[in-house]
Amino acid sequence: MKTFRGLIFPALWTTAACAPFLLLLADFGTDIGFDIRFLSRIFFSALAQSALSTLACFAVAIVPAYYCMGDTRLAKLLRITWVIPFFYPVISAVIAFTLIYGALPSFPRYSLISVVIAHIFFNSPVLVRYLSEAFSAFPRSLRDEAAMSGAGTFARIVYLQLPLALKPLLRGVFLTFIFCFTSFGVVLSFGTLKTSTPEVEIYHALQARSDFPGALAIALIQFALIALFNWAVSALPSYERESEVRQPLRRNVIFAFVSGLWLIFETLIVILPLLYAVYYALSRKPQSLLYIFSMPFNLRFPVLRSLLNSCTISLVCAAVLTILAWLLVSRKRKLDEILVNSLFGLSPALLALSLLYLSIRTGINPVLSLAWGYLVLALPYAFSFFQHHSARFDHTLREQASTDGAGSVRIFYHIEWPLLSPALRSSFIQLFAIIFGEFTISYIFQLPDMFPLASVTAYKLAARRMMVESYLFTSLITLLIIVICAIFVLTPSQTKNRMTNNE
Amino acid sequence: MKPVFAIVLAALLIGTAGSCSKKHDNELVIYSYESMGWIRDSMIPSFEAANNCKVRLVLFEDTAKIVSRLILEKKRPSADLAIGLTPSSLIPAMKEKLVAKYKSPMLDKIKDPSLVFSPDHHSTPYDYGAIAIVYDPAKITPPATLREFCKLEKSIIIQNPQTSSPGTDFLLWTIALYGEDWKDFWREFRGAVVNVSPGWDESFAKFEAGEAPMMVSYATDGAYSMHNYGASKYKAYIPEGRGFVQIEGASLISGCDSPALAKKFIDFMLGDEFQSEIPLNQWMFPVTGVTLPDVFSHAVIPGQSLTIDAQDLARNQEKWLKEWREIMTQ
Repeated sequence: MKTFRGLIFPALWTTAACAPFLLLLADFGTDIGFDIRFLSRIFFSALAQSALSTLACFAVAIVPAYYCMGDTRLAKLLRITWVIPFFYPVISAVIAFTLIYGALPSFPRYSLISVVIAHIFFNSPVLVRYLSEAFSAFPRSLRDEAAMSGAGTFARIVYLQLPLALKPLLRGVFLTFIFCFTSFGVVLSFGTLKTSTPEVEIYHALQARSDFPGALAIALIQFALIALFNWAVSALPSYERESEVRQPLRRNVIFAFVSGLWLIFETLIVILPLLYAVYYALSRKPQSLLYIFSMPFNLRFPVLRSLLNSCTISLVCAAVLTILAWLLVSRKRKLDEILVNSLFGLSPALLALSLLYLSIRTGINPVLSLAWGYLVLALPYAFSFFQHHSARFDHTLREQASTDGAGSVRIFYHIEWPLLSPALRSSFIQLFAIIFGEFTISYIFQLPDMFPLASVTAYKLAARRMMVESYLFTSLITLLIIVICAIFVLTPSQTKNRMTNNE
Repeated sequence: MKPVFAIVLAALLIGTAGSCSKKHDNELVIYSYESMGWIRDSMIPSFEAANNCKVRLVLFEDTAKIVSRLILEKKRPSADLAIGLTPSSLIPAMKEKLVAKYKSPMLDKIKDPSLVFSPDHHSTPYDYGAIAIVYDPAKITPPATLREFCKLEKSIIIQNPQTSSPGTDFLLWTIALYGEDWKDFWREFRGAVVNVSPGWDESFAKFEAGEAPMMVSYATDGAYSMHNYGASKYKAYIPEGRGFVQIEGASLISGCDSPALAKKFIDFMLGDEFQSEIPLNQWMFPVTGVTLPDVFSHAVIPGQSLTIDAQDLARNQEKWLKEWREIMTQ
């Protein structure tokens, strides 16, 4: 019975992830053919680009990652940047880089190097986070103890430091690599036909050539590759640390300077569209500051509706995911981890089209299908966020409560929710930002009249040469996400009161 | 439990908040691409009033996406009419049996019978225009022939023929010009390409931003420039005067719910009211003999119009696109 119950969750979300593809596969998958030459070109070039981008991110991230371990003001600011890859909309970054590259006429704007630089912005914070975790895995106290026990430097590194650091290090490298490998918005905007990724090729196959079997072939290979890598990383043992103590680092001006430069780079990309929009609007077109909120403008470009729609769907999906991900992580089953992390390999473009097709064939409301897509896409991120917090949660509390007769819901509401409230809120915010800024699924779904979305509206403004309006709108999106995140962060938690009352 | 209920309720609200795309009685659903958005304000109200019906216009980024959506909806078509299909985009639509035949009684108004690119009337033409090279005369003196472009380095923005109809037609133009040697041409030409954009809008945004002195566009761009800016800032030209003409058509969707209304709209599109709005909104030439606005004297007309045989196109288009892709990624 326990085994059966243990399989319900995996069965449910595997169905949720796979079901959309089954109908598409049934109707269009009979002609799947593997054009070896074409496929090997795409995958080799994507692997090369991802490897180069990951190496570049690693080189850029290593100093800030080390500095993050400290407790200085700069270290705290660096830790805030960890959310950038998850909250900052792709289209906003594309516009920021368009501005930068435009100011450098001799810079090769559409090239591998411009893609790598954009990837550094997006993905180096991921590596900073995980590298920092890897560095912290071996605190000074442990090092001192090992030295006192007679372990030499080599033995310390090979038998202690590396095993402790390996999983977070590889997890960071894996995530960075995957993000670069499945890159869509950046490669679509700055890449060339030679630097295409499987995701962009899936999009072209689906939307441009209506080549569904071709798209399925690419998606299957992508999924298999990523699942293999993910399995390898998941198979590594992870070591739980009892507490995360910020270590006082020795003062190093060079490290501080390099870390500061990196922080400036990350922050500049975030605020650049806003600065430019305000400058341009005030100096040339002052009325455009408010014009994007006017009725005539919104009839052409539904700015306000898209903001409302994106907020609504992001809030709901983030809430559902937060609870679902915690329930999965708290079960602590390897199968769950492997299955959920394998979702990283799902093609968002193909998932979107499969859900759209499901919606068309079955009459399911396309907005519900869209929400379904967001849930499937963001679940591995949610799981990843909670894995970190799960390591520090005392799971014996749940076992004791269960022994006392409390059901799952009561345990969650009276024990887990109060203790994990900061973690739940933090994950909720990041999930909200990820879904709000999500571009690929939103773009493929193409629901401009029924349910316009902010990221797609921003893209369309830029594509239609409404540059000032585009800068303003993307800045508005960024500010909105920051405000909503700030509300959640700054709102006092009521769980403290409830715990006090219960005591 | 309260948070759970709130979440479920919100999810249900989302499910019902978005309006389902259920059709109303006497409703015509048209799929077209974004540049046709102008018909929403002027033509559609006129048609609705004359026919006591409701028209819903759904716009996609380009014709490739229209065809892609029609394929997905093949078993449950939502649209009644597709506007904007060119001879090249009609091919996959016919292969998938997405479009139905309709011979409009207004076909006699078309001034040039060669504009009827679908002999079986799977599509009714409503406008046409030549593909041209648009350039900034302040930055470059354009080459006299397309071959001479091969000597230039990073000078022109083109559209991806996989995703864009002007992109497809530019590729077909080179095939019509150079025949079997078109692949050799592209092997040399690719060095002159700054960027391969997904569509015309993206290309023009990059062109206006000064990323390249030339782009593939339409021969009417000079007229557009004069009408909107009072001056021909950018000029269009057709190398050697031998141009490729893009024709756009309207197609009845197979198995649609409102075929009668769709047919009436096709007839309406060939009427004087619709045709006279095409020049200053679509920046293409109307297929009937309506009077052109004065500003169209700035449009370039090819001395010789090149075409590709329809059967040849149907047989080889997919192969050509694949070969083009291979050349550009080598």
